[in-house]
Amino acid sequence: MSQTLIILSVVLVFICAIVNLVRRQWGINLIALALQYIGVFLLQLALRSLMMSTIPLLVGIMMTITLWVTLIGTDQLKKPEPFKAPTSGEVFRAVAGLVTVIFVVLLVPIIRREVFPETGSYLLLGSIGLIALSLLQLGMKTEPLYIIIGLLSFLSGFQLLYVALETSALLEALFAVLNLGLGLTGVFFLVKAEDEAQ
Amino acid sequence: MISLPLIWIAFPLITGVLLIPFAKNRRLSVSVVSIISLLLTILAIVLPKEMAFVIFGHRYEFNPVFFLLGRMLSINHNAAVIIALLYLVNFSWNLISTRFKVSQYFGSLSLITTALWVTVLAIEPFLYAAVIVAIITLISIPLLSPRGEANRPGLFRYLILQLLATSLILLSGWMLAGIVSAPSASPLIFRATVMVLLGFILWLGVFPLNSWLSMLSDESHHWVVGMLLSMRQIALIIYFLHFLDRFAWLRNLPNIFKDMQLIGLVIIAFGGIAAASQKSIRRLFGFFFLIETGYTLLSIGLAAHGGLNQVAMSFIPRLISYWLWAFTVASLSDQGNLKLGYLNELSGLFYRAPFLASGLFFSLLNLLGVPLFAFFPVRRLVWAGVAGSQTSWLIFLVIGIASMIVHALNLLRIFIQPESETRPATPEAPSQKFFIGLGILLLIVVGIFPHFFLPYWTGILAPFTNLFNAFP
Repeated sequence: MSQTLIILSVVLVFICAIVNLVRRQWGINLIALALQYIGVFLLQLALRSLMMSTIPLLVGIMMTITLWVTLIGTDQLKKPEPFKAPTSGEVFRAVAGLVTVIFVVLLVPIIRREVFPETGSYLLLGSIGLIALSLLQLGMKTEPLYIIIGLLSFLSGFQLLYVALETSALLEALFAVLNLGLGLTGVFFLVKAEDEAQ
Repeated sequence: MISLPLIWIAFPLITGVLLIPFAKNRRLSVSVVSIISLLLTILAIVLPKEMAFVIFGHRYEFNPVFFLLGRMLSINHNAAVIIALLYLVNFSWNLISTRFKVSQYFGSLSLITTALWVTVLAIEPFLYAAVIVAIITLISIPLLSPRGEANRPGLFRYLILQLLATSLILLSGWMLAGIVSAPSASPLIFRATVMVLLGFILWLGVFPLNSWLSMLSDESHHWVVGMLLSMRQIALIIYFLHFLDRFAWLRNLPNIFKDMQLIGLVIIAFGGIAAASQKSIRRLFGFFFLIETGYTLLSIGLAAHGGLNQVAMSFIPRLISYWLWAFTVASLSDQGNLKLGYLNELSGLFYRAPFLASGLFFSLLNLLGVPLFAFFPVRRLVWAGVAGSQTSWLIFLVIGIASMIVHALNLLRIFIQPESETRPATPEAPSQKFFIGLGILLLIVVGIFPHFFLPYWTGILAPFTNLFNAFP
């Protein structure tokens, strides 16, 4: 796999994670989540077979579609406004996200040297960046959908890191179940929130 | 040959899933779950050492291993006692769960949860269990916050912290593999230790990362919280002992057991003060859970003084207290006696509902370790162990116990103080009186005859031969 594609995948993952951190438009957030899964899939391709890399992609896309359909079903999906002027909160989160990315970029060579010497630099950058940005999202937002997106992103970043360290069919199956469960928990929260609103 | 993992994991797991469509018929679902849990408990208790039964001249042998996707699920005779305890918890909580306004999926999901906790203790490599703990967390969400109830912050905090802990334990697993091949690599040992300990701190809600415990017990139904947290504490303590047993480098770290004693004592002191200063009775369970985790860490730290036996013997007294406390608080909530959950809502409770008041008070006395109650024989050994190990650290224990005594006296004052306004007597159903009476009786009988009830459970420690050999 070419180096350029790997770098582009890392950039895609970072952009999607920052969009999810900054924007509060559910349609845009779910599209960013789906694109993020594609970025993670491309990064995983550098390490594993096409079949093994496809499993998390399929599970992730499936969960994103399920969340999307639930939002439509509960009438909570508003028309996306991608060019709406940012609020002060969004600007703050964007700055925090950028600072986190810079921090991760500076820190990854040290982490690689000290802890994960056998893991590729860009893979490590993508996974640790995704983990850091999703943790930031989990700390900054309280709405159920954002928490679930944050947790799915965190898990995605962690899985990316872990596949570079260890491969096991059982572990892959358990991760798939965990992702599915997390997505379904998100659906459950959304349905409950709608019940509450009524 | 019948595979034991199929009996104690696959069968209850499949039954639990099959019961989900019948959730609306709660009596059916709960009855099936109770019967299965009881049968699995009995089977675990009577399973012979040679893992074979001879019935009517036929010999039925059990296979301890089951292979799944290239990995192994293993349950041998040594693990039977802990399995019996987990299914006993599920049985005792399900048997009377139809009394309470809990989720209709309580029966089915509790059986699935129990089977998954058994999987946590049976899976090889045992570090993969971390992902199963995360799956258990997800399964518990519909029980803790069923439809019709608002999404609350404690639930989200619980979910986030449990998933973070899973990633830490998994990463530590990868590092542990490195340590096996390079025993002297000290930075690796330091990192792996930090990750393992931080993972367990998050999983068990150890101070200072304990906020989700009290929030969850405040927000969710007490009967559900009681069951889920009881199982979590039992299984995770045993899982932690697995770490200590398997990795010599971990138990050989300088001062690791002394540090565990100190952490346990600080938790006991903090938990006691927090409980004594609480105004909400619903949050108290979270602090009791915290204090009990503290006592467990303290006992593990006192392994050289026989502390491991105390860990095993404390499960039953603790469970009776948890059960009784959860039963009384859940009854009070469902009967409308706890609208906001404040302690002062219970003023004069002793005159209105003497059994409910007694249930709460005696449960608390047992957790305190008052003589004649079930916990006293175990607590006495732990206290003596601290006195024999580090006398100066007794101050933490004194603070913790004194705070709990203050809390108990305050609770008693509230229960017997005359009410400013006359409130109608809370009707106590005969069955309610029976179950509370039974709980109190059990506390006293186990306290008077501990040698009949407690030594059996030390069998939980049978798999940890390395750990025992380290402390002959």
